[in-house]
Amino acid sequence: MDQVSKLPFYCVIIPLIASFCMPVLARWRKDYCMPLATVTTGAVFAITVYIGYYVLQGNIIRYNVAGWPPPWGIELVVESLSSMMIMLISGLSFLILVYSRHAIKHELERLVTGWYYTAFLLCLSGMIGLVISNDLFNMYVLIEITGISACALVAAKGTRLSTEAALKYLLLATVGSGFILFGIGFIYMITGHLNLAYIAMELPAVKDQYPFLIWTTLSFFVVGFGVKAALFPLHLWLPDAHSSAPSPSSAILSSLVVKVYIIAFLKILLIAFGLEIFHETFIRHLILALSLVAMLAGSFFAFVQIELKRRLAYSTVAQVGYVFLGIGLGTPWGLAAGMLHIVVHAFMKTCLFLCAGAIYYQTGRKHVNEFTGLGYSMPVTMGAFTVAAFSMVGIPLFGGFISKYGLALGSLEAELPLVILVIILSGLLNATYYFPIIGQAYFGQEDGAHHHGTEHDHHQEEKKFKLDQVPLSMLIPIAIVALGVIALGIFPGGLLDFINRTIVELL
Amino acid sequence: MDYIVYLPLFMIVFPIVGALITGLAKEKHDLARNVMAITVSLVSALAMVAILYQYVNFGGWELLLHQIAPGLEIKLRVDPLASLFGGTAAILWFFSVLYSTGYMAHEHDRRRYFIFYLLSLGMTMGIAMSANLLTLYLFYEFLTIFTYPLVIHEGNEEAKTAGIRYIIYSFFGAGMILIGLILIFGTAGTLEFTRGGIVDLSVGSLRIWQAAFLCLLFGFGVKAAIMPLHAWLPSAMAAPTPVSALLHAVAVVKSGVFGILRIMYSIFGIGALLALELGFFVAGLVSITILTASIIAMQQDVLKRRLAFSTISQLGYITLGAGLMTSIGLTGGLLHIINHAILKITLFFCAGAIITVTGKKKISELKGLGKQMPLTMIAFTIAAIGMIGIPPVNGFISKWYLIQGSLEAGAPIFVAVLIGSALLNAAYFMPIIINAFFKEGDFEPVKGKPEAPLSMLLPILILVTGCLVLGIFLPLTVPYFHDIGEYLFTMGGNN
Repeated sequence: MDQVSKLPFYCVIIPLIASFCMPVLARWRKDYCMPLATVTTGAVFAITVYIGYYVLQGNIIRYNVAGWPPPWGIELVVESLSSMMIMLISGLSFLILVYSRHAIKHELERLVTGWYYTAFLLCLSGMIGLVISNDLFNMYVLIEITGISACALVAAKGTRLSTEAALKYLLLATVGSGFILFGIGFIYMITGHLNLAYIAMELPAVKDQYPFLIWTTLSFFVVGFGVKAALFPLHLWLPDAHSSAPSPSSAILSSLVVKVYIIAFLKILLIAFGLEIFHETFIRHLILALSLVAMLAGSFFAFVQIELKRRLAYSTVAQVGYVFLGIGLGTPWGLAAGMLHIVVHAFMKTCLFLCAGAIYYQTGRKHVNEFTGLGYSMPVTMGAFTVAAFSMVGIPLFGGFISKYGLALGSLEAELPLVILVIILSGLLNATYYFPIIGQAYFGQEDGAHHHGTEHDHHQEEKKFKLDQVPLSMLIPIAIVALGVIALGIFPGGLLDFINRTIVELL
Repeated sequence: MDYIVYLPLFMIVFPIVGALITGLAKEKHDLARNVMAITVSLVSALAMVAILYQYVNFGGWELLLHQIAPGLEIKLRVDPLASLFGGTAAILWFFSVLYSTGYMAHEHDRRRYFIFYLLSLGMTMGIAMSANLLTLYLFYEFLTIFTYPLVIHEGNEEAKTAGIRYIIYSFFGAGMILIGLILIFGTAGTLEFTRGGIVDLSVGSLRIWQAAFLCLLFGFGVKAAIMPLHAWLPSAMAAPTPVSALLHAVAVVKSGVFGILRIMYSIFGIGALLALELGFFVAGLVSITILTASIIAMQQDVLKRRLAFSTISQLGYITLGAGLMTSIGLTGGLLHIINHAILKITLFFCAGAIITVTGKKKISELKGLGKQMPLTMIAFTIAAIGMIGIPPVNGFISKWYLIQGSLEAGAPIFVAVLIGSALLNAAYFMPIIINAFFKEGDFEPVKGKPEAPLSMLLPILILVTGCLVLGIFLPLTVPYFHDIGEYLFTMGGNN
């Protein structure tokens, strides 16, 4: 027991130490940075899998950092939700790091390689810490670490666009952090605690004294985390940041960084406040309304984008709406589906961004109308892209279907059957901006190829499948993530176990 | 015996594997590809016959493939409706693959064409043999995706527009189905197709059930081309003729009708439909479709478009039979599935043969064609007579049953609809025949090769013989369909 309880702490501290080794290492041996980062992340992933196995047997790991017990010390708690998230974070980061080896060489200046991996590992350690910390102030610190290193990941490219986007991200994220800090301050004022479990114990006794303050606190958290997680009207920084960043950064930002804020918000909401206050204060209705708008508006914006990565970024805005919808429904099915969608979307969006990077690597093309014939010259990449896009649209046997299905059942459970209409409509909108890409890649014709008339069509050049001209270190992560999307759709059992346990633990 | 239970799975997997193997042949290796494609479709048809034999002698069975999550199962089952639709589609698929080898000889992208043609077979079999709404929905989506490349095959602007329209309509329909599916699952807690229905009206509000039914009806109604959701079908005639023949007269459109039958008789059941008063709503809705489509068909000059509108009208007959809420009417509707399939595929094959030989697509250009292509035009005439509903061709029987069913349901208005539609059918098929045989035109008897190649002519002749045989030897089909009608028409369930 003692040995296991230290493991979560190692998950945070190992990448943190490794990240500070990076600049030193980069001073002499730039090529060693990526292997070291990968090995570190791989080791963290192994630890998290062990933790996940341990937690699934019905245990909860609690660890007091430096031996100070709560409410004064920093407490790390790993229950089902956190263990699932740290596995997801470290696993996907590992794949993205493997992918980054060649992608980074292609997209970044060699000079910044060391700094890039510093930021990457710092971000990883921040995300893991944020998910497992059970203490508001510690959470705040880790939110800042994650946020700033995420900005660095965007700015690493050093172009005018990415610098501008990073600055925008930094400014808005700081505003978000401000709101969160205010919220934390209010909670401390109301309850005198920062530890989530202690707040939960104290809150019922004092909540009648401070009805408006609690309402204010919750709304500050919604705005603060809403900015960080790009909930619809607060999403303004996201499309620029995610589309101008290097592809590995886009993948990690879109699939993981945005999500850990939602997890933190969920933990504060469910552990500290409890669903009852959430229902009473009408914050739930606010989130519900915003998420529905996000699902449609994000898709509409995505539809008009012509640059692939911008389209994917707006699609993230819509998909974040799905997750918030699950929270806004506030029913067991809804919450479960929201959490499921966090995982499913992480896989899908990682896959799509890695594909976008691979397409850029091989062909240099960025715009969705230039992908004619890519189905033949990059079969693996476009195959993975198709899988992820089908999942986005919500076709059965792919991961996206399960979470969409759960959300729809959740809205029936919450007695809001009309929400189903929005869910389906959003799925159809997803189809309108993903299917043309696929259709063109496989069935599109180059201009001028079809002027011969039927007689000559016999002699038309045969389309041949050629393996992608992309390094294996990029291709294999893409394939693994795509297989993951399918596996989530066909065998979601293990994941549902984690989520069901979470629902039991938190509600 | 033990392995026979896996035949339904084989029916789905084998065409997929076969399609991929067929795809290995390079574009120029036509012979190898044609042999492969014919073999795959022949084996599938034989396997289907084996399933039918097993079913008739030993009854149906189910096969649970995978449980995604509690309540979400991928499951296959052989039951009367499944064997009816699956059998029709698998056997006609063989003939149309044979026909395609002749028709496609002068077309481009033959490799892609045959791959997706066979993939669609697997998906259609999946639709036919699905045991719950989720499995049906799954294969229904994939049928849309796999038939899209066939619709856009020509690659010109017309085909692209048709493809986009097809995808938009189909996914809209699929979205509606998904809404209905979720409403059903959320309220009834299961999606299993059960004799007599799973719907228990005492649970949940009536409005939810009505909404679920309408969503499912209009969802499947897209593929079943119920007006006003039919617009994709005429424009999809831009596809090569074997595609129009098989997919737009048999597989795709019938999968929509099949879905409607499933929701009416296996999900809702007679009791619930009567209580919700939805049977006559369906019948009334499709009556409008039947008449309007026939009237529009008369104005079409392009032969395939005229056939397309005729399809829209005739599909209405099947749904009408289902909506009459009598066992006789249902039998008529079920009979029309197979009768219309054979008749319409023959008509499309004839149209394709005419295009291949003469290059003419418009009816006004076919004056005197009977002199040059007598066999094709005689086959066309016989099938057209069947469509109108004149004995001894098989179309007569299903209409007879439908009329009886309407009378039994106490709704003679539908008799008027049926007879009016028969007259309209006559009005748009007779001019073609008269044009071809009795008008002087550009065509003269030709020596040498007046008709289409044998690989196209043979399916036409076999199928037109089939029309006559089914029309004359009634005991071949009618008793079975009567049993199926009785089987489905059970009050059972929770009501």
